[in-house]
Amino acid sequence: MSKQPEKHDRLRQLVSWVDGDREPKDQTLFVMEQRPHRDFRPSEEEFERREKDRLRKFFNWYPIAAAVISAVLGLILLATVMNMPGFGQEDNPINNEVSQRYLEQGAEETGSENVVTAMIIGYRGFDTLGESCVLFLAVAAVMILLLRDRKNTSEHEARQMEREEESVQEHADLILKQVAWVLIPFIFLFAIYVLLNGETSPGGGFSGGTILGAGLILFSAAFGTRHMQTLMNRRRYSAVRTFGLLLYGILYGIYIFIGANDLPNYLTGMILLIDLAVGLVVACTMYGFYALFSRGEI
Amino acid sequence: MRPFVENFPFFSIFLAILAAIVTATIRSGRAAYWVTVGVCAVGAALNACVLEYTYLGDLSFTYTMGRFLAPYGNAINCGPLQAMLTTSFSLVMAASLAGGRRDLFQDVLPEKQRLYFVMVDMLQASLLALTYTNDVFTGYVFIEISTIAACALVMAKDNGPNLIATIRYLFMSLVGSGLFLIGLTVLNSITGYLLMPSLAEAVEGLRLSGSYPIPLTVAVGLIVAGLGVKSAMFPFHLWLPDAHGGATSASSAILSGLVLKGYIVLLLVMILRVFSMELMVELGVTDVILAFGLLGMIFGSLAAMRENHIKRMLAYSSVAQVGYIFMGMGLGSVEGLIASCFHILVHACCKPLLFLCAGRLSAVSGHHKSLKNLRGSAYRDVVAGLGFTVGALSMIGIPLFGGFVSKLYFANAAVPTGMTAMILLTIALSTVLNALYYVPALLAIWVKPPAEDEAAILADVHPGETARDRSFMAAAIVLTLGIFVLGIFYHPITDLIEAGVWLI
Repeated sequence: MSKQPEKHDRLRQLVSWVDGDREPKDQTLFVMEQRPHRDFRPSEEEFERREKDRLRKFFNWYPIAAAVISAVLGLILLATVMNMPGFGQEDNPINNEVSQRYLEQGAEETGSENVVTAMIIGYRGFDTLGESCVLFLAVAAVMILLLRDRKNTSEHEARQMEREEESVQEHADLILKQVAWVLIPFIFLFAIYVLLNGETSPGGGFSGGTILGAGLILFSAAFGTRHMQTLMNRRRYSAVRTFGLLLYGILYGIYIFIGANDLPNYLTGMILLIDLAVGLVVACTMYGFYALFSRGEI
Repeated sequence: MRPFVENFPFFSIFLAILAAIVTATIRSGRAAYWVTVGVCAVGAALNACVLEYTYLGDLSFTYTMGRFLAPYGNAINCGPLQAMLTTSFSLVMAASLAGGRRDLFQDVLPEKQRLYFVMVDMLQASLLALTYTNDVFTGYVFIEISTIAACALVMAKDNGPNLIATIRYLFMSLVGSGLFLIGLTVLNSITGYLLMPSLAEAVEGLRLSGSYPIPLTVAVGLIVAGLGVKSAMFPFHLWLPDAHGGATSASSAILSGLVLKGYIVLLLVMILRVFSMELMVELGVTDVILAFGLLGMIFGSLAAMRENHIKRMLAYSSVAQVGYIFMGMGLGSVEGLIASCFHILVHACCKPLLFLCAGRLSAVSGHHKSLKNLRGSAYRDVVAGLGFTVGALSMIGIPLFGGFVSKLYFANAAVPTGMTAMILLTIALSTVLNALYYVPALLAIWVKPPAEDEAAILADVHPGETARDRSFMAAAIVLTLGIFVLGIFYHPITDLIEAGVWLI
C-alpha cells in the first residue's frame, strides 16, 4: 500500500522538474541547480526595472565595444591597403588576360561598343540578372512591409491620409506644377534616349531607368495621386515590372542555353532588349520605393 | 554538344527565378503556394538526375553561363556533392512549405501571401546558385538575394517583436555581406580573377611565392568572418533566436534548415576549391573556426537550456548544431569536411521537422509557445508529437537516428588531430547538454497535465486547429523518413559525399 503514493510522488516530482516549477530534491543535476525557475515571474515593475537596468548597461558598453571593434577593423584594413598592389601600376595582378580580352575584343564579341556595358550584360550577364532580381525583391519586400492593409493602418490613419490628399488637391503648388509640366516631357525624352543609347554608353539600362524613375517621381509629387493613377496604377505598375524582368530572364536564359550548348547564335540584337528590360526594372524600383514610403500605395 | 542532362542545374536555377517573377502577379495565395511547391519538386527531380549522372559517371562538369569560357564569363560547376545538396535542399524546402502551410495562411495577410512565395522562390534560386556557383562574385550576388528574401520571410508575420528581430537580422546580415564583399575585392586585387579555378591557381601561386601575405590573410579572414556572421557562427549568433523563434513555422523551418546552410556550403566550396585546406591550416584560420565551433556547441546548448519558449529553444539549438558543422571544418582534414557535409544534411532534415512539429503542437494548444502550456499536446496531435520525438532524439544523437551518425563521423575525424581529447570531450559534453533540454521538452509534450490545466488550455484552442492537417502529415513523414535513411543507410551517402569532395 505504501508503494503507491511514493510512486505517485516520484511522478509528481518528475513532472515538476520538467515544468521547472520546483527542483526535485535528491537528484538535482549540477546545471539544473543553476537554472532559474522557469515559472518565476517577477512583478510588472520589477520586470520593467530590470529591463531598464539591462538596457542602461547595454548602452554603457555598446559605444565602447563598437568603437574598439571599428578601430581594430579599420587598422586591419589600413594595413591591408598599405600592402596591396599600388593603384594603376602596370604589373598589377589585375592587369591579366581577362581585362585585356574585355578591352580588346569586347565590342566584337558582345556587340556593345562600350566596355562597361559589354562586361555587365555580355560577359557577366548572369550576375547582372541577379542584381536585377535584387531590385525586384527589394520592392517586393518593401511591399510586404508597407503596403496598406488592415494590420498596419488604422481607420484614423486612413482618414487622415484622405484629408491630406484633399488639401493637396485644393491648394495646389503652382510653381511646382508649372515647372514639372515643362520639365517632365524632357526628362522622359532624355530617359528614352539614354535607354536606347544604352548599349553604346556605360551602364546603359541602369542610368536610363534611374532617369525614367525620377521623372515618374516628379510627376507623382507635382500632380498628386489621382493623376498618377491615370498614368500608372497598381496593375499597370506590376505588369511593367514583371514584364521587364521576365523579358530579361527569358532572353538571358535562351542566351545561356545557346552559349553553353554551342548552338548558332541568333540573338544579335539581345543587348538592346536586355538594356530596355533593365531600365524598366530600375525605373519601377525607384518609383515603387517612393510611392510605398510616401503613401503605402502604388 | 554536351549531354542534355548537364543543362539541368541551369534549368532548375532559372525555373525558380522565372517562377518568382510570375508568382508576383498571381492573385491567389493558394495558387502561388502550389507554383512554389511545384518549382521545388521539379528542382529536386532535375537535380536528382544530375546526381545520378555525375555519381555514376564519376565526374564533375563546368557549365558556362553564356557564350564565354572561363575565366571570361560566368560559370557554374556541378559534381555529386553539389547535386546531392541541392536535391535535398529542394525537397526540404517543399516539405517546409507543406508542413507550415496552415500557419502560413493564417499568419500572412491574404493580399500579401503571393509576395511571401516570391521570396521563397527566390530563396530556392539563391540556394541552388550558392551551391553550384563557380564564380565568387555570383556567390556574392546570390548572398544578397537570400539576405533580402530571408529578412522578408521573418517579417511576413507582421507584429512588433518580429519587426525588431528583422531589423536586427538585417543589420547583422548586411555586416556579413559587407565583410564578404571587402574580402572579395582584396582577393580580386591581389589575384586578378573571380572565377574559382583561376583564382585557386593564383592563390596557390601566392602561397608558394609568399607575396602579398597580409592582404591574402585578411581576405581569407574577412570572407570566413562574413559568411560566419551570416550563418550564425558562435560569437555572431545573437540575431538568430529572435529571427527564427518569432517567424511563422514555415519561415523558421526554411531559415534554420536551409538558409544558414547556403552560406556554409559556399564557405565549404571556397575552402575546397579556392583556398585549399593547406592554406587554411597555414594561416591558422582552421584553428579559429574550430575554437568558435567548439564554443558554439557548448554555449548554444547552454542558452537553449535557459529557454522555455519552444521555438527559441530550437533556435538556440541551431547555434549549437552550426557549431558542430564549423567544428568539422576546423579540423583541417577532408574527413572533417565529410562529417560537416553529412551534418548539414542531418540538420537540414531535423530542424525543419522540429520547427514544423513545434508549430503544430502550439497550434493545438491555443498558440501558446511556452513548454508549460504545451504539456500533453502530443496526444492532441500524435503525428506532430512523434515527429518532434524523432527530431529531438536525432539531435541528441541516439543510434539509428541521423544525428548519431554525424557525431560518429565527427569523432572519427577528430582522432588523428592533435586535440583529440578536447574535441571528443566537447562532443560528449554537448551531447549531454542537448539531452538536458530535449528530454524535458519531450517529457513536457508527452506527460498529461492535470485535467483542470488541460481544460484551461483547450479553452484557447480554435476549433479548426485540432482537425487533421494532411499536408503537415505528409511533410512530417517525408522528413522523418529522411532522418531514418540518414541514420541507417548512411554508408552510400557518406561514400557519395566523399566522391563529391574529391571531385569538387
